[in-house]
Amino acid sequence: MPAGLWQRPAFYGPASERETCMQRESLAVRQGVGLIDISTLGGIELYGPDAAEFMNRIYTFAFLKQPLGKTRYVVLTNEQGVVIDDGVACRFSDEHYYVSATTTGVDRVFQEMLRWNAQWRLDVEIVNATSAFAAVNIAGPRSREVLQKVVNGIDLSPGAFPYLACRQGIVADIPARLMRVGFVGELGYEIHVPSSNGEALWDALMSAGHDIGIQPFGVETQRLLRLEKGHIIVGQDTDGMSHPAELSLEWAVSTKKPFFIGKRSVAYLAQSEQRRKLVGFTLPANSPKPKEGHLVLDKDQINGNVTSCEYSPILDKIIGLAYVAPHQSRVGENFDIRVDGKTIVTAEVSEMPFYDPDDQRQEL
Amino acid sequence: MIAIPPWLARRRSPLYRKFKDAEYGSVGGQPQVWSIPRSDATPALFDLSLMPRFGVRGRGSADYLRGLGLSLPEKINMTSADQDGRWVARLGTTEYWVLGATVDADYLDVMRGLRDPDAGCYPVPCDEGRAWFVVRHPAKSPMMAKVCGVDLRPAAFPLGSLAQTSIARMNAVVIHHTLFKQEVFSIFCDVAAADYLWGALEDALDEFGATVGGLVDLVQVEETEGNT
Repeated sequence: MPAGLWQRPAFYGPASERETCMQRESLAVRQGVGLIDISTLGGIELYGPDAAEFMNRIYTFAFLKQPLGKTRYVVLTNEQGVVIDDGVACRFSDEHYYVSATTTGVDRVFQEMLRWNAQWRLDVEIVNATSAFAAVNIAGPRSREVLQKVVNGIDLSPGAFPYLACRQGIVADIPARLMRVGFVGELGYEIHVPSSNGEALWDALMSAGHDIGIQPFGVETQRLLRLEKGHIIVGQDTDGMSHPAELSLEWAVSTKKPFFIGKRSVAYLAQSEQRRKLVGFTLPANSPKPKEGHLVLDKDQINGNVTSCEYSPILDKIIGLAYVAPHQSRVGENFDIRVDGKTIVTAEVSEMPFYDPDDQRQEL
Repeated sequence: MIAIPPWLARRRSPLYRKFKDAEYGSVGGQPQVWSIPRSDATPALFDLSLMPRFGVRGRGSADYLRGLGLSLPEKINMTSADQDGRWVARLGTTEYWVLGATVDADYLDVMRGLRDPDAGCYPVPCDEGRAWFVVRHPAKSPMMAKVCGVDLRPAAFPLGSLAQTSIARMNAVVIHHTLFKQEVFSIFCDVAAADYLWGALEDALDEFGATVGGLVDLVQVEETEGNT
């Protein structure tokens, strides 16, 4: 399937068996271990004495005190306060950050960084390293067991390598950067290696996990898994108007620091009357399944649209994300969706995330 | 020569699947295409993607490279070479690539390891982020004219020149230099676009009766290009 300028595996199997393949792959990740190629993710290196200050000005969160060896979620807003990208920042030294960006957004993020620093003149070097790294995410309750077979120089025990930590070491004789992040909501490790080593890394992990049935999974399956966990995809669940308050991302915005791009607009939009909210919704498994873009209605009024929707085999429900009017956004409220221009289905606003609400699985 | 088959090697060129009939040799510890079954066509396009190189950028980069005994180009978009087969390309005010196709990879690794980030010298991944192709043919300038808008004829693009341009609509760096005592164009492109650009270059070569070659062809001295 196309993903920006890239082609990525949607799932592994015949196109005619999409649902079956996705269910098999998602259950493997939830119950065992799966492996996905995420090499298309953007990667930007920031070096220099002002790297932390630069991060602090570019992204909404606070970064000056980000500990070494820790990751932090990043949200990029523009001057209008609109969310235009997200990713994860790893801090490997006082003067070195490695920041991921979305597959489709990294070129824009890189250009924005160069443009802003042309004004700020901070002492930071900005390198777009997207193609220099291949990366995989090995995820599932048995991922540590597989990784343990090929890792060298990194203690994978939960105490030594906790959730949201990042480490550098050797995996399958390859120098690697590892991050414990939970996009799909399971114990998992992103492993980033020099691009020429990418295939060897994949082969080594598939071989190490062979005996316990490691399952490659594709982008469509990953989108289902992250939806179960309630994680948004910038560009799919956001549009040219989405601001952090609409997306319930206030927790990733530092209001204490003096500046970040779009700070004044983000604050203004948060204090203004809200016109819509992104919420999670559920439908019975046997309901007609809404598609992305289908309209959310309040009688004859169009209040929003569906941004993501899939059948979840682990929950045995149809789950989705949709923009609704503020008065429709409370948990337990019902709202109508027009499916394929004719059938009206009534969805229920759900508590988020749909799956593992206590976040226990990713912190195993 | 004996080499690990590329499909089993730890490092693999982005193009290795294209060379199904090739014989591989271990060069610099990496599986390189050594020879390809010959046809009547002249070998003119070579994949050096796994050959040693590294890049640096930052206010301390020039001092670092001089400290290694390298002579640096005075201007951006120029290259300099030394007697040992290393050459330095300057891509920006503080950005340099050290290229060593004829140099022991371990030696270059040692040089790379001496970099001091505290001195304002940071890595640029021109080895992992870029594929490296070499075009060597008496008609290499007209060949390249089919896919590149820059005038690469020797009068306009003499030895030592560097162009940051686009080839077949992909961002690329072209360097005119000598390699194994022959004039060549080295082309560096985003490694993710290597397959595409290789195909475009193969197509450009075809009408000149030229084709893909292995390292054994590249080290053989051929007639060099005149003022085409």
